[in-house]
Amino acid sequence: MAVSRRGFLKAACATGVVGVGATAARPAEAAQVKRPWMGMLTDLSLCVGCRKCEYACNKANALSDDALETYDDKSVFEQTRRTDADRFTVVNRFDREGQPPVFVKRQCMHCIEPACASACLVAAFKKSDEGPVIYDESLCIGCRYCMVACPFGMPAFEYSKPFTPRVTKCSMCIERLRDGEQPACACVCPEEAITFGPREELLTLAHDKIREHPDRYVDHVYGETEAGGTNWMYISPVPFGDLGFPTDIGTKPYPELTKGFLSSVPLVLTLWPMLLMGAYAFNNARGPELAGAPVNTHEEGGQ
Amino acid sequence: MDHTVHEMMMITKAHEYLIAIAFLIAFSAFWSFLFRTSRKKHHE
Amino acid sequence: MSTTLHPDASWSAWTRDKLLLGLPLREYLRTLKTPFNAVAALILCVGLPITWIRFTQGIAATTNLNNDYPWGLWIGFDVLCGVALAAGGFCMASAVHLFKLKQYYTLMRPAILTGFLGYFFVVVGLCFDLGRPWRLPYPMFVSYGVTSVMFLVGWHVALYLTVQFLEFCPAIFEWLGWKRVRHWVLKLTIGATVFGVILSTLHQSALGALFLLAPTKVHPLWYSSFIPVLFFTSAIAAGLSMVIVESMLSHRVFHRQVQHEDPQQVDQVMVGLSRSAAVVLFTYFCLKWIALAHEDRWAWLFTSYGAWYLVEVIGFVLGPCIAYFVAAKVNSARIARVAAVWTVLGIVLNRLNVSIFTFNWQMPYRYVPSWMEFAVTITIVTAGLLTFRFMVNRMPVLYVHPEYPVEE
Repeated sequence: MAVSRRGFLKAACATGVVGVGATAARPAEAAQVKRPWMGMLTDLSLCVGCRKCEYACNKANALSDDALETYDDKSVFEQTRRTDADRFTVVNRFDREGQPPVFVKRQCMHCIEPACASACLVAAFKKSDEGPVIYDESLCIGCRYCMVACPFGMPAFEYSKPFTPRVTKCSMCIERLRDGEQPACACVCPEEAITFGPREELLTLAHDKIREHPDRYVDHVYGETEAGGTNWMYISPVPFGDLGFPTDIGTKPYPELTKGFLSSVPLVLTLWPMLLMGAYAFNNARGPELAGAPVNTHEEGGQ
Repeated sequence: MDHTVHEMMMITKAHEYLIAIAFLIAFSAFWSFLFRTSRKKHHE
Repeated sequence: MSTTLHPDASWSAWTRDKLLLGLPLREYLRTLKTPFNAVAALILCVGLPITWIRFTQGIAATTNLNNDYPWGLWIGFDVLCGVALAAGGFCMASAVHLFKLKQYYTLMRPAILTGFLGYFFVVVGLCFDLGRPWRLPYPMFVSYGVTSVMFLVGWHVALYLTVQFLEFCPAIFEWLGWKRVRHWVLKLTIGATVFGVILSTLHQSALGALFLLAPTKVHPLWYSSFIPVLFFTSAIAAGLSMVIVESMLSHRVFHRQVQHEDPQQVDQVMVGLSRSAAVVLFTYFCLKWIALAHEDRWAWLFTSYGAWYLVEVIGFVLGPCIAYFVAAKVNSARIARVAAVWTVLGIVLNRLNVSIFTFNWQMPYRYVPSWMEFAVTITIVTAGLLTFRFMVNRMPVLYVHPEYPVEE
């Protein structure tokens, strides 16, 4: 018995090591893929918290019929809100001592290497050619692994729908983009805090702004490298960690995290039959009295 | 290298899994043929 | 209990013989009046209406799940623990068929049945949790997310369920008296066993690998790139322990079916199993520390989460490991049984730590399952036990069928 166990474990450990090694072999800092992707840049120093973007988003996605005036209600800032099945974007207020508060609009970051797409077992999530990460509800089985995987905690789920629950998130108004329009929130923003454009140009713009006004911004473009880079980026007057942004997600693309394990799968599928059938043949030969038919020790026991 | 890691994996994993499954089927056929002959010889 | 099915036997005779344990219907129903059945009926009376609510009103109406905590008790316990505890099937099948350890033969069938039913009810639990359970076959037939660990879990659990059914088929065919089909199925044994071990290796570890995508949500002490190996190794320990627990319960509940067994011999087998379980747990214990070293997480040991981690690793891995060691050394099946229950609790604790207790550790609030989530979980476990009992009472699981002696 002990022998058999040890064999198992040794093999299992070997797989683990191979898996881990495979991850390490490719540098995590592999150059970001550059494509003519569209993106968004939110300048948090300009946002005044009018929530018109929430209004425009809810209208564009048919989430709510509430009149624009209802968004003047500032009491929603008492709590920090998150995206939900019926709101794909939220603006939160972060108070500062002696200075005006910072308002933060949050929504799907549209990762270059989306964790949700990496997690989805039916490939319902896809990085579109335009740049947004889009979701196909006709494939979704509702396992919610995408929500477990998303480092930004942005996808939501329609828990109260018994028959057609969907995962919901910002699509960067992909339909509008395809019609040559800008995303609804970028159009409506009265302070021009949300800029829509090619990702590479937005990145240059963000760095220019930081260089020209070092007093107004912290020297960091959030989304430039986070989780391998995102198409929605931010610049801010205060450190992102103080504004509820996760700062511990690193720069490694999320698909890299499971890549090593997935490499071990074909290895197990090909090595295990040899090891296990080998063990079977060996034990069969060793104890012929246990086997039904007489066994040719010489041929089947050969190691 | 114009693929993202994810796009690349969508291709490579599909290939790897298909080959591995084909191998599994081939292995079982291979093994049974290999040992069937030897056993027949033994009985004769 | 009559065992042959005459071709001219009437349907009612067949029913009485195969389903009613050879009793007339009224007498059979009388035997069902037991305290256990009363409790089970009570549980089902609560669970079935909740099932109705879940599938007509939605997940929100029955659970405390939300967008921050997309997975709760149904995934953490029903799926993660269910699969780990059902690992006994592949452990015993490989011990008997591949490693020719014939002393475990009597334990193999109940282990395979537990494995099969365990997985079956894991899928049942999963159907409660999935938003659109009727799309369960999508990853097999409609759209292939090959980069997903969940894709592997789906495929492997489906295939393994089939393999375990095949492995259990001889017992079903012996019950029905289908000799030729039984003979045909037996030929698949070795292939099915090897395929079962492959699938188990992959999906037991894949269940851990699911969490590789949540490095900021699983607590640093539990998050490790070794988590697939940790899940696989601990599943072996859980599987072996469940075999012991099961044999213990079977000897209490089904003592009539096992009366032919020599209790001393049974104890001897238990002690043998303790030896293997001790080695596996010891290995798992070492792996736990290697994982910590690999991620350099030592400093976290001195936090309150660290204390909880030590409770798990010392109290519920090393503890039962030592108990198994002692059981093997002093030849005590009683200590082995204590160690087995202890290990099972420890593995359950580990799975819950990863998926629920320490998940989202940076969140200011915690998810607590609703009473209905608990009720559904208890209902599923009860349904599993009832099915197990139904099959064990009718099919040659705990004993060798007199007409089909062991051929190996």
